[in-house]
Amino acid sequence: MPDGPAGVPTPEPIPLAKLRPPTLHPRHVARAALTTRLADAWRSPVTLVSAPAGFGKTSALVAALGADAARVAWVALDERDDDPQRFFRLVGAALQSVTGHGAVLERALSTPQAPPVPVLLTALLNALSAARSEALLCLDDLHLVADRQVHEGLEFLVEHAPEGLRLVIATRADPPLPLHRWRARGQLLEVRADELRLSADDTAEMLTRELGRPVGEATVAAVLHATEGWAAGVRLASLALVGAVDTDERALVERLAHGAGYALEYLAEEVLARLDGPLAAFVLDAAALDAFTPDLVDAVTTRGDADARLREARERGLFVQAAPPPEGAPPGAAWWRFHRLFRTLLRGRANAIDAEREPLLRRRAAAWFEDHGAAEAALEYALSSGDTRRGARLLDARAYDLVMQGRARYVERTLERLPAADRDRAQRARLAYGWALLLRGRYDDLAQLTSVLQDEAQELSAGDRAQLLALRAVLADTRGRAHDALALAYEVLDAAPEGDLVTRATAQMALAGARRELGEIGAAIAAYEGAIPLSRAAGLAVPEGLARAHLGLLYLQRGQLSKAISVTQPLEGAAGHPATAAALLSRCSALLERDELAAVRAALPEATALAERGGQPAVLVNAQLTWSRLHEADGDRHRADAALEAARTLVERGVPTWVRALVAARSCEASAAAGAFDAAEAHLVGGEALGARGPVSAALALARVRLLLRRRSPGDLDAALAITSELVANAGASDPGDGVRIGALVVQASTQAASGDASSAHTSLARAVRMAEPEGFVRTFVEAGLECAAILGRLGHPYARRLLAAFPSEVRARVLGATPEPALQAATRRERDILRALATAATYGRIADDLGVSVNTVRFHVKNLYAKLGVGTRLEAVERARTLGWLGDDGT
Amino acid sequence: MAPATARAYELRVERHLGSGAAALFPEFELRHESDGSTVLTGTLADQAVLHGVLARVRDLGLVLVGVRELPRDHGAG
Repeated sequence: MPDGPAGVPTPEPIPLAKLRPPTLHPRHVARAALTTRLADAWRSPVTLVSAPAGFGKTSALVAALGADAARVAWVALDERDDDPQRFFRLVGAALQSVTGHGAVLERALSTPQAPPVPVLLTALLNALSAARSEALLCLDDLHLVADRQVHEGLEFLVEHAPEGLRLVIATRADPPLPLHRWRARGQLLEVRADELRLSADDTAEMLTRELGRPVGEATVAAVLHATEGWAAGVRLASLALVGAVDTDERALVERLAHGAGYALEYLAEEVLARLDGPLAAFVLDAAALDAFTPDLVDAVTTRGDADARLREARERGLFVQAAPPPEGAPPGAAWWRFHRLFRTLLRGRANAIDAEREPLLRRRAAAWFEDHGAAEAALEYALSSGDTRRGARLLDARAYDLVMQGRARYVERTLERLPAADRDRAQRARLAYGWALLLRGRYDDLAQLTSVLQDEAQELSAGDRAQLLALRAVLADTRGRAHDALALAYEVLDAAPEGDLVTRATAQMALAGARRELGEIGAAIAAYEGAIPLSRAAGLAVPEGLARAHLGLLYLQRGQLSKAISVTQPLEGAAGHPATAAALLSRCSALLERDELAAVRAALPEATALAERGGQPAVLVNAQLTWSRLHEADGDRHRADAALEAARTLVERGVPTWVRALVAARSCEASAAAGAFDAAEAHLVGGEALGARGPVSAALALARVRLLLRRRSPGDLDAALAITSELVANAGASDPGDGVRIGALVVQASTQAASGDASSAHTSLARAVRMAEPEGFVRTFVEAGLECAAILGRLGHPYARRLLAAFPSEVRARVLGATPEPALQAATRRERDILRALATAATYGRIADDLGVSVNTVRFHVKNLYAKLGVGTRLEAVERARTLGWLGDDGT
Repeated sequence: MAPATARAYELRVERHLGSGAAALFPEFELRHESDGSTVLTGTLADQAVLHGVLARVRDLGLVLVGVRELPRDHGAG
């Protein structure tokens, strides 16, 4: 296993040959008009060179742009680049070599949890724009890439590219890009097959150069007729004509001019027929290989003459090109391949002779690559030659490293290519794929996979078993099974090898989550603090971000607002990574508690956008909860409710239990505030039924007290008093800490005030204020509403005055005007009767009946009451009257 | 046995293909037409296979002049 210093696999280096434009054929025919036209690529945002194989697309580009090689970022694509992470890693490397920007893209895409491509591209484009870099990004053979995300990324790149960055595409098929739009805007330079066709003059010149002698008009005409100016055809024709005596040439010309055959195939056969036996055998066998060295050819053919034959083939110009070395191939050797089109023709010929030979040669090549430590190349050869058993074994050995290098997609596709029996045998590959599922948050798929693997666990090595346990620990944690998670996590930390940082970091996160769930805040904080350096060493961005997010919330619950804010600080280098969203949201919660609303308003949109890119439901829910609190702080009840509704919808996508419980608590409070007590009760009961423990259970208890305080059915106040005194006592004991205790004291004070115990209320709130001052708690008080403000107004403490200043102005006005209370004197006895009736659910008709008056009279009194109380709704009237003590029995 | 998604297709390309090119289309029977074209007929497992075949046609630079589905009972042998 290729281990980096921290036990994390280092990414495969990118072969330079993939980033270098090929050199022009020494006998290349210059074509001035085409070169001039393609040189316009410097002035066009996009250039598309679209034509079938062998039309000289690449040569034309090299001829037109080669003089400016220092500004050309070249990417030669192959089949394996059909993967967004791999594709844009190449793009990053190519742009880095030309502009000095792009290394970030390349590095980020070599990790298992890379940010989405548009995020990285934005950063890259900004850097290119700021540096005013000039570059042509040339993508050769783009038809080999079908991935939707790649094309979306390219579209994004073109739409947002700075002036100096131009895109050039060479392809056999028009790519799924908005070519129409670009064409209409005049942003597209197109060079297609017709422009690439060789003219009669070009053909004559090419044949003359290749043959080293003048060529007759009839020959030129016949070649042009048969090939229709197809460059590869003309070159093949020249190869067929080399050394042909007069009679041969006449026969060939005759056949080209009048034959109905497929010219390229016919020409390739002519060329092969003129080679001597050993060279023809070499060419046909080497064509079975995607790329080759003489050593490899000798190994698969067991002939031993490959070195000499290769030299011969190159001298004769048999379409031999330099090739990038296959993945993991032994360094040093030069790799070769045939031009794609010529190779296809050769393979057809070879298969027509013996259809069994190519699979045989490729199976031998798989063995050779495996012996030489190039597992990935071996894997490709094994799978394509039907040796799925070897393929499964090789994938098993490589899959984990591939996932950790950001190649999860490749592992997934390769697993799909295996027949079921071999796939079952590839346990380690499936385990590695489990990591990919975990890293992407696909818990349901992961649960299914781990339960299957669990049944086969005895066949796994100890290290692999530890990995499986770590995956199960995380699952148990996300499902709220804290004790299981804890037990599994400890088992992992005992059993996992010291160097397996990914497994250890994962177990550490599960451990911390379980501690948090169990309400052991101190232990949870210690565990999360320990997870940060582990995750960083393991190269895992998501757990590190999550650990910071949880620490932020835990410090908040403990009352350590400054710590909560500092631990969730945006990290340098991680900016724009969705993994930072959760931490940014925790930071917003802490800032919100301090009433630093401007800072929250500035940070929340970015955090939400990142959460959306990351797509983790739990983080998205948190974003909506934070929006809801911010809107509420801004007095926008309507939008606060909408955000809460969005959070409830998102919960259905699957979130950990504690998040579900938190949403229930907030929903209960919102419904209670709107007077919908039945709905509030339903939310709360739903939340309590989840059996969440720890800080979330405190949040549910606080929500229950607030509901009781507003509802005031018989017995509600007594129940509220009992809950608050228990909360305050428990919070005081140890964990959870001050944050929860402050919240508990605030609701306790409100409850005591409502029960008429003004002096206890005063004492409780005074305690809360003293505890709140050092870290600057504010919103806990403001969200407790008018009753809290009224008590604060009577406290002499300077911080109480600062707290009061944070209340909405109408609340402040009422509190400051509370004594003496002019409205109190103005209320008539009849109005008080009506107020008491309003506090019940009775209709106006019912009230009229009970009081023996008409409905209109009731309406009349209600209207006057609203005016005196300065309120607009029945609920507000009752609330206000309650604060003023008008609903007591004193009036009757 | 062919899967349920299998369909029989007929492709027509310009020019007469020889045995070498034919070997690149093992799933088809080839027939040379008097108008100078080649007709390829065969049963393909699904649409993905068809697209793979079309890519092969493209990669050889062949000029495709027709693709059609054949009635179900065709070429069952």
